[in-house]
Formats: sequence, C-alpha cells, structure tokens
Amino acid sequence: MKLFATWKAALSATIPVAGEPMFALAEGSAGVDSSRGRSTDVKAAQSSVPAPQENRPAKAEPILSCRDLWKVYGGDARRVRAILAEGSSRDEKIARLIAEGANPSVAGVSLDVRNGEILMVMGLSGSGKSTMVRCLSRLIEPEAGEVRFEGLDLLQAKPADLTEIRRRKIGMVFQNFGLMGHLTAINNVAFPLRVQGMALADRLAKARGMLELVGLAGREDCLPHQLSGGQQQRVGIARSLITDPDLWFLDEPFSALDPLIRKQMQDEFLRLQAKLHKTIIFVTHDFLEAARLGDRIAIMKDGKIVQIGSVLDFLLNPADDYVRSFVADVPALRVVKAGQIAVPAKEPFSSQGDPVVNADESIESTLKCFLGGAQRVVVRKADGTIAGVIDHNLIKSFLGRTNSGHA
Amino acid sequence: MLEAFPNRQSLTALGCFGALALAVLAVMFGRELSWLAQVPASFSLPVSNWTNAAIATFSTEFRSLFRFVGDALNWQLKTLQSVLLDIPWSVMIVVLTLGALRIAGPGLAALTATTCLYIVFAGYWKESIATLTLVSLGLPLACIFGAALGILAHSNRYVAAAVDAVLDVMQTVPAFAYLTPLIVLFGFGPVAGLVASVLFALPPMTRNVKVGLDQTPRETIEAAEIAGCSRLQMFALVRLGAATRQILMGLNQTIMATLSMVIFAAVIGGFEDIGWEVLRAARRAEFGNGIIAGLVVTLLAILLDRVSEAAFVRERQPQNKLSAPSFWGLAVLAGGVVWVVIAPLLPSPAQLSMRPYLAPVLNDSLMSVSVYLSTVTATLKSVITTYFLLPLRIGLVRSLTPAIWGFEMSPALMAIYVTVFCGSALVLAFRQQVGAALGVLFAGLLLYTGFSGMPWLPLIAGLTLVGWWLGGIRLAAITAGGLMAIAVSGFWPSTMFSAYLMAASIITAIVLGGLLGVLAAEYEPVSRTMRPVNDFLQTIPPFVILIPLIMFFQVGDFSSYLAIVAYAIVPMARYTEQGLRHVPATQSDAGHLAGCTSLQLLFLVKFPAARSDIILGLNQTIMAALAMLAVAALVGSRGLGQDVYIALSKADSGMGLLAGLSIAMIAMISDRFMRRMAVR
Ligand SMILES: Nc1ncnc2c1ncn2[C@@H]1O[C@H](COP(=O)(O)OP(=O)(O)OP(=O)(O)O)[C@@H](O)[C@H]1O
Ligand SMILES: [Mg+2]
Repeated sequence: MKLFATWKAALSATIPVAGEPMFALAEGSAGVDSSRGRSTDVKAAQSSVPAPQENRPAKAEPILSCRDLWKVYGGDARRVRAILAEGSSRDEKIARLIAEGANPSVAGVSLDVRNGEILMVMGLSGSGKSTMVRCLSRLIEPEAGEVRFEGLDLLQAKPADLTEIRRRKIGMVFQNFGLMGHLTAINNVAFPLRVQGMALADRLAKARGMLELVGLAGREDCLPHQLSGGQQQRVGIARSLITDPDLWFLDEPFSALDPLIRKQMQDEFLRLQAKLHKTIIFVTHDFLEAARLGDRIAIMKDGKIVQIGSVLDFLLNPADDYVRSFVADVPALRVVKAGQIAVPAKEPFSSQGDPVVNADESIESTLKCFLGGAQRVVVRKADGTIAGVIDHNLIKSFLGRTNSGHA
Repeated sequence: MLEAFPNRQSLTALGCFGALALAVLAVMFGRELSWLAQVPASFSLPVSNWTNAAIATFSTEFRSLFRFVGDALNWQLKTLQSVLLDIPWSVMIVVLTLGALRIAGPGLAALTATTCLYIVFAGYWKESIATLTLVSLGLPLACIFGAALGILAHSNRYVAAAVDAVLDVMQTVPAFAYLTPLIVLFGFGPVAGLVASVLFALPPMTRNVKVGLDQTPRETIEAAEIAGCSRLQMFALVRLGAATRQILMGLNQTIMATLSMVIFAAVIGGFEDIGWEVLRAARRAEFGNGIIAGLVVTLLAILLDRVSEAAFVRERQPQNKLSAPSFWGLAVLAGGVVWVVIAPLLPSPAQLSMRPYLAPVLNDSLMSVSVYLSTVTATLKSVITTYFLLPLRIGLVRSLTPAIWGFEMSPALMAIYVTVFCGSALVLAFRQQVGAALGVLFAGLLLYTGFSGMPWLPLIAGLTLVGWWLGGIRLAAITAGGLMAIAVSGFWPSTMFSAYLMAASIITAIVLGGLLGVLAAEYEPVSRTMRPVNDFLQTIPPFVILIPLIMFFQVGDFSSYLAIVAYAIVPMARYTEQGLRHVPATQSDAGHLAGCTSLQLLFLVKFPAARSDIILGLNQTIMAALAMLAVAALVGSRGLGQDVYIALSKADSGMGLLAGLSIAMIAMISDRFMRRMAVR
C-alpha cells in the first residue's frame, strides 16, 4: 500500500490532472527531456534509495540538438524565408506557408539527443521523418533553424569541416538503401573508407568483417541488384557502421526485413549498442520496435513533433488522439519492462521468498509470478543490484491505467 | 467546362475554313491570284549566297587551324591504315575471333570468323580495313567530344538547354548537308568524311552520358555525401559509376552511328573504303559487285552491333575460367604464332578473291531474275505510280487525262467529285466532328491539286493555325517562321516535292506497318518472324537497301519511295505491336463482355487504348522517312534530298546547308505537332 502510494506520488508529481498530457508540449519545446524530469522527481521522493530504475546513461549535455528547424518544399524561396523570419507562432507560419503553396515538411522542430541515447522517430507516411533526419545531417539545407552537433553549428560549418565530420563521426542508413549499383557488396561497404583514402587491402578486410557481422558472409561479390531487399539493407547497415560513427542515423533500417531476420537484427542492434554506446536517431513505423530499442520515442505529424517521451509516457498519457492511435493496439504488458515501473523498496527487506525478475523483462513475465501467488516481485538490474520492487497494487494500477486493462 | 464562345478550337476551325476557301480561290483563279498559289520570284532572297560567303570568310579566317587539324587527322588515318594492312589477314581473323569469343561468346565468334572469311573471299579485305580505319579513328573522337559535351550539359542547366537544341538540329539535318561545308573547310577527301562521322556519331554519346549522370539515385548521392565525398570523388566514384550502364548503351549507339556515317561519307570518295565500293557498283549498275559489297557492309554492321551489345549492354556473366590478362595474353600469343608460322604460307587476300569469277555470274543471274520478274515489277511500278504517286504529286487535275488514266476530268465528274467531298464534310460537320470535316475538305483539295499545285500561302496559314491550336503561340510562331524561311530561301518547290514523297511513303508505311503491327500483336509467329527482319532493317546502313531497289525498279521516284517505305515501316510496326500488346487485359476483357466482335474490339477498345504509343510510332516513322530522304535522293528522286546531293557535287555549301536545314525544319515542326497530338 505504501509502495503504491509512493509510485503514485511520483507519477502525480508530473501529472497534475488525469487526462492532461504528462508534458505540456508548448511551441518549440517538444524537446523537454521527459525521462530526466521524471527520474528527478522520483529521486526527490525517494532520497534514501540510490538511483532510479531505468538504466539510462547519466545526465549529460545533449550531443545533438536542434532548435526551431524548418524545411519547406516548394513555394517562392524568398517569400518562404520572409514568413519564417517573422515572429508569429508556429501554427500561423504553417498556415501562411500552405497558403503560399509551399509544403512545410519539417515545421519548427526542436529536440535534444543525449550522448549514447537512442531516439526513435515515428509518424505516418509523409509526416516528415526522413526529411527531419536529412536536415539533422545537413543532407538538405533547412530554411531556418539551428542544428548543433558536439557544440558545433552544423548549418554554418564550412564544407571542408562538414566533410571531415561526416567522414569520422556520422553514419546513415537510408530508407531505400542508397547503395551504389555499380559496386559489389563488399566495395559498397568499403566505400566510406575508400573515400578517406584507406589502402585497398585494409579496407577490404574491414569490410569483410562488417559483412560477416550483418550475416552476409559469402555474398561479398554480389552486385546490389543480385541481393534481396533485406540483404541490400544489411549492406547499407554495414556500410554505415564501417567508419565507427558516433552519431548514427537509421531511416527505417529494418522495414525491408522479414520478421525473423528483423528480430535477429534488433537483438544484434541492442548487443552492439550495449558495447558501442552510439547516439542514434532511428526512424521506424513499428511501435513495438520503438519500445524495444529506444530510450525515447518522438511521434511526428505534419512536420511537427507531437509528443516525445518514454514508452511509459506514451502508454499512460498519449498527447492526443493521433498519438493514441499509435499505441492503441500495443500490448502494454509486453512492451513495458519491469525495470520501468519498479519502485525502490522503502524499508530494507529480505528478498527471500519473493520471486526475482530481471529489469529488462516484460511486465507480462512479472504477472506470471503474481499468478503463482507471490505478493511482490523483486526487480534486479543487469549488474546484479536491486532496482526495486513491484507489488500487487502497483501492478493493478498499471493494468488499470493502460489499455492492457481492457484486454 | 464551358468556354467562352470564340475559344481556340472554334477560332482554329473558322480560320482553317477560311484558309481552305482561299486555297480554292487560288486554284480557280490561278492566273490572277498567282502570288497566293506560288511563291513569287521577288519573294526569295539570295540566302544561300550569303551562307556561302559566310562559310568562305570563316574558312579563310581559320584556314591554318583547319589545315592543321586536317593534316593531323589525315596522317593518323594513313598511319593506322598502313598498320592495319600490315597485319596478315589470318592473324587478324584469329585475334578478332578470339576477342569476340571472350566478349560475346561462341555464337558471335563464329559470326566474326565467317564475316572475316567472307570478306577475304569476296575480295574486299583492303576496302574493309579502310572502313575499319575510319571507324576506329572516328569512334574515340566521337566518344571524347560527345562525353565532354555530356558532362558539360550535366553540370550546367543553361549549357544543357543549348546542347539539347543543337543536338536536335544535328540529328535531324541529314548528314549529307554538313558534308558540304566540311569539304569547304577540310578539303576534298576522307578527312571531311571522318569529321562528319564524328559529328554524326556524337549526339547519342552526349545524350546518354548526360542522362546517366543525371539519373544517379538521390539516396546514392546522399550516402556518398555522408561518407564525406569531395566533389571530384562524387563525380568519379559515384556518378560516373552509376552512369556506366547508360554510357555503354550510348557507346553501342555511337559505334553504329560512326559506321553508318563512314559508309555514307564514301560519297566524297578518296579512301577506297567499302562504302565507296557499294556506291560505285550501284552507279555503274554492277549489281553482282553491289550485292557482294553490300553484304560486306551488312555483315560488318550486324557484327559490330551484336558484339558491342553483348559487351556493353547485356548482363555479363563471368563464364570464362581464364582471367582477363591471361586470356588476352594467350590471344596475342596465338596471333603471333599464326603470324610467324601460318601467315607466310597463305596467299594474300587479293589472290584469294573469288569476286572476278563470282561477280559476273551473280550479275548475270540477277539480271535474268530481274528480267524474268520484269513484267511483275513493271506492272507494280506503273500501277502504284499512276494511281497513287502521280495524283499525290500533280493532282487529279493533271493526272486525270486520257494519256494517263484513260479518261478525262469532265465537268460532270468534277461535279460529282466536289459533291462527294463537300457532302461528306457537311455530314461530319453536322455530327459535330468539325476537325474531321476540315480534314476531308483538305484531302479533297490536296487530291485535286497535288502537292505541287497546293497554294503555298493558304497552306502555311492553315498549318500555323493548327500549330496554334495544338501548342499555342510558340508553336504557331515556329511553324510560320520555319515555313516562311523555307519559302524565302527558295526551297518551296523542292519542299513540296519532298512533302509529296514523304506523304506517299508515310501513308504506305502507316498502312502496311500498322497492319503488320496488328498481326504481330495478335499472332505470336508473325511477331517472331518480324523481329529479326526489323532488327536487320534498323541495323544495316540505309543505302545498302538501295541496291536491290535499283536492280528491280531502276532509278527514279518509285525506288526512292520504296527505299523510304522500307526504312520507315519499322517504327510503325514496332510501336503498333507494342501499344496493342500493352493494352490492359481488363480493358479487352470488358470489351469481350460487352459483346464486341474482334474487329470492334480492335477499333473501339484496343486502338484508342494504344493511341499514344501509335502516335509515337508515327512520329518515329516520320523522322525515319525524313532521315532517308537524302539517301533516297541517290536513286534519283527530286526534292530537298536531291538539292542536298547536288550541292555536294557542286561543293555549294550554302545550298546544301539550307536544303538540309529545311529538312530539319520540317522534322522539327512535325515532331512538335505529333508530340502535342499524343498528349491530347
Ligand atoms: N525532394 C522533395 N521535394 C518535394 N517535397 C518533398 C521532397 N522530399 C519530401 N517531400 C515532402 O515532404 C514530406 C515529408 O516527406 P518525408 O520523406 O520526410 O516523409 P516520411 O515521414 O519519411 O515518410 P515515409 O514514412 O513514407 O518515409 C512529404 O509531404 C513529401 O511530399
Ligand atoms: Mg521516410
């Protein structure tokens, strides 16, 4: 009872009134760091117990951030810039741009991505996901806004600097693969190294290793059109990783894969990320994938980010009907992990007798323990320390507040 | 959908009706209204003299430059030729066959060997080597300049527009037309022909390079950008690589164009190549030699096309066990061994030539065949000439005489004629088919006057109006300006003669080609037999077709007409078949369900659905006919083609260029018309 109250208090600290979004998404403030906000609150309420549940990297300066980013297709370039330069609100600007016959594909997006974080981007087709990613890597020039990477203003960077940054620090996987049709798989993978001037033997050796990693050993000498869509995508993934970039953009990297390979690639992705700690922006259409892989999720609509936050935020407090439609059929029991709702035990306790689950197991498996008659479940982190506990009431309230309650 | 009443369509109809009325007046009062009927003498300007003067100034101004380039090319030609001639024929055959084996597989290797042996025994080894020399010198030049232009056009939008316009003209002006100024610049001889070949073969290279570079997929470019490509790397590693396939396709076309023009340029003479032999044989009516030499040209063309296609265009499978260096090493070794061991034992090609024995026999037997068939061919010729060609050229008014048709255009007949045409036009007009009504009236007038009697001003006015209706003020301006320019430079009568020849052959090509296309679309065996014939007709250099035509039908309009038809029929048949085959199955199923007979299905469902394909084919047919016009002039028709040809022999570059430009002008105007029509 007490425990439940604590958790609820922790939640209600950020949810003043039920039904309102957990985080107000004011103009240009879509980038409020929700997880950080919440964990601070939890900490405040629970000063005696160390560390909140989620195994996120510690607080850090954002490595990539953008402010009020606009990309407008069509329309008269000069008029578009004039409209964007005005002080009016975002929605006003959008309305005026559309009236001009222009198409704001990215509309005033602001966001921060921390070092080592995985940000998943979702949204309907045409909502501007790819365009936003392209702006962040400056493949296309935004009409307005600012993009900072490691403190450097990317949009103002000189061509030589930009080239250097891209060679060393940025990798990207493209929705339609973007392979060079005239190069074999291995040469495609080695291409970034070739551009950097690495010797032939060295780069081929590295590329061969990379292809092995993505499960394409033996297909080195195939031309792209001799590979299936999924295989081509894996070549693209291998290519994007070969320079060991710090910042990794993935535009629907797994969409072309069959479910089995996709699952394998996701596992591989998580394994890699546990080792490499890259900063990742990952576009996907699959909420389960987003929940599984991401630290945070951003949902876009008509070029705007309508909500950004953790899986739990989306399940508990979808910002509007559009967002709700994304999570409507999501099996909350399966996507939320035990570690995400466990609360630290107030009084010291002995874990004897209570079943123990791992923090990254789903609520579903926790539920099984309760069905087995347990009163509470102890949640253990990967490193063996105790993350917290989940008791009967907590699970009940969780079921009640998510759609899994109706299921 | 209501438009204001005096809309473009009704204005055009009214205007065309007016033009028709004017034309009728001009025909009726030819003497009083002669300025309306014929281009007045005072109207023409000495444009061709001005052009000549300009070219003369240009050539004296840059004489040393052209002399230098000409000498350099001449030296290269001579050197390469003597090097190639020094290689014994047996060595050449072994190396070429091995090369074809490597590049294109055993089938084409066999064809290579056969062709080479045929050339040796036909006694045309030296001449074929001369042709090969021209091709192997012209090809790299065309590739280099063509690719450079393509890259320029790729990198700048304005250059692209300019290049595009120039290429359009270059591809429609018959090559004969720029031979003449080239002779002025480079002197009489093979160099002018070589330069003409380079000019002629360069557009496909330019076009394909530009398209290839432009079409690099966006994400490929972006992936390269993320990899941090510099501009040079982007071009060399990414765009060029992505364009390779397209460029190789261009290379295949460039090779064929070079060969075709090298054969063509033989009319200048001076290099004793195989084209010259064909031409000489045709001129002297030595059909035995003509056929033997024509077959050499045909085999060479087919061989070059197939081998280069196999090498560049088709997917290459790594089938050979030997690596490339070791294979070519072996090939050279084999060549060397043959050179040292076998070649000295073999007689020279001249000694091996069977032609002295073969040609007379062939000639005699061909002659007897043509004599044997002469009743048939003569009847065919006279029937088509009397009842189709003549009325189109000089009109019923002059062909309907007792001497030609056996009876006269009596007033009663005339009345019937007018009634039939005006009546059907009226009926059509009542059915709201104003366009068709105007078409019927125009056809009636044309049939009456023929192309030569067609009043020029009303014709230009009518065409301009149609151009306005189809493509707005721009197309109207192009039409009026182009036709007026032709009239002013004094080429109107020639143009009308060419128009007659074109109309006759195009009508025939449409009817026959369309029929073949329909048959091919309906019956697979027809399609299968037609394909190689079409390939053959499109591959061989056009003037090889002329030899059998002269043989059976002698020199004259009729042979020109047949030559043009043979060349122009291919696109019509191809596009019709393709269009009909691509009609969605659901549409023809719907037709079947509605209870169409198969003819109804064809006319009510399939033709309309295949319309844009067929119009495209029609456009290609017109272009092919125009391209053939100058060649057909070799067998003695009049018109613009002959003007070009005469200019060549008189070295009158002004006249040649202007006549050529007139053809290009007609090509351009009709191309625009057809494209607009396809969209409507
Ligand atoms: N090069 C372009 N020119 C014009 N408009 C563009 C261009 N690229 C994208 N757009 C427009 O921008 C909008 C967003 O496109 P974007 O490709 O970013 O969508 P997306 O969210 O990635 O969709 P999907 O899930 O289908 O990949 C669309 O309305 C599209 O029409
Ligand atoms: Mg996309």
